[in-house]
Amino acid sequence: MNCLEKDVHRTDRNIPIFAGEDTPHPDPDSPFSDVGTNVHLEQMKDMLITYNEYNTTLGYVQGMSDLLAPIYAVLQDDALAFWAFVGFMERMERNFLRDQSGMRAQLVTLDHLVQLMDPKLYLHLQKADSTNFFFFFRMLLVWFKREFDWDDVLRLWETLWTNYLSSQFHLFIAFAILERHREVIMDRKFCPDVLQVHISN
Amino acid sequence: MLKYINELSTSIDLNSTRVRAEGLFKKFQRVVEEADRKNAKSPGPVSPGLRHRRGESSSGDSSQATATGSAAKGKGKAIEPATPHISDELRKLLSKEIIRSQGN
Repeated sequence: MNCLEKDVHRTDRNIPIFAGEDTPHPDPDSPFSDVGTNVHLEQMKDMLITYNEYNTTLGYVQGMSDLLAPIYAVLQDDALAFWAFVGFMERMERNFLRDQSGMRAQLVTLDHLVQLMDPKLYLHLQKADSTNFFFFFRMLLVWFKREFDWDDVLRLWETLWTNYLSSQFHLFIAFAILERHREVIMDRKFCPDVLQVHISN
Repeated sequence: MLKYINELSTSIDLNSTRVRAEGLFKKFQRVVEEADRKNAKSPGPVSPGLRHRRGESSSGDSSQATATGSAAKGKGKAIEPATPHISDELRKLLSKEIIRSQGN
């Protein structure tokens, strides 16, 4: 459970509800025993440990705490948040499969989408050898959690949860982000690393 | 280098992104409808370089197909561009059904 605890201690610590360290760590054997914690971080751990038991096929995987944090922060009830998280994970589980098949399927779809809708950009990305779209991996994995402000993440997820237009609208969000940088990408010679840096900015 | 990339966190504007995404979706919808309409009328050669569904037999020798080939037959001066192939993955984008993992 080291991975789980590490994740919780570094998830959204800038958000007020998760910021404090006013509670001594309950477990003296934990690597975090000399670091403070707070009641909400402990709730996060409990919910995720419960999920680790609940999901018998996959268990907890690094990154899942990023998906739970906004839900818990809004609902602030651990039982409600747990079951909302379970619902959310029904559609997000494929992102965390160990064989990466779920992520690959989305990246392939994104690849086809760019090829169909913007063949000029696609050709350019092909030349720069960026068509594996690895730089979109983090964005898709946790639904743009790191790309937008906290409030905007909440708004975006609410949009995506409605399945308005598509159950995979997040791929159009990714495509829209790519398109926004289209001119800059086409004007310069980008290698994959530089491309990722630029899009992250 | 990857660690540096992962730590960058300048945020993108949400509203303009959502608006652009919706516009791209509507455009995608039209492209698919247009492709399906063209294919219904006259299944032609598939554009070279675009992906083929595995196992599907394309009409004619698509790897050799060019826009100046059979697509131009009977079309006069204008050379009709080959109809894009819409993959299964792309078609799923039009669905509102949530895709779940197969489990295990």
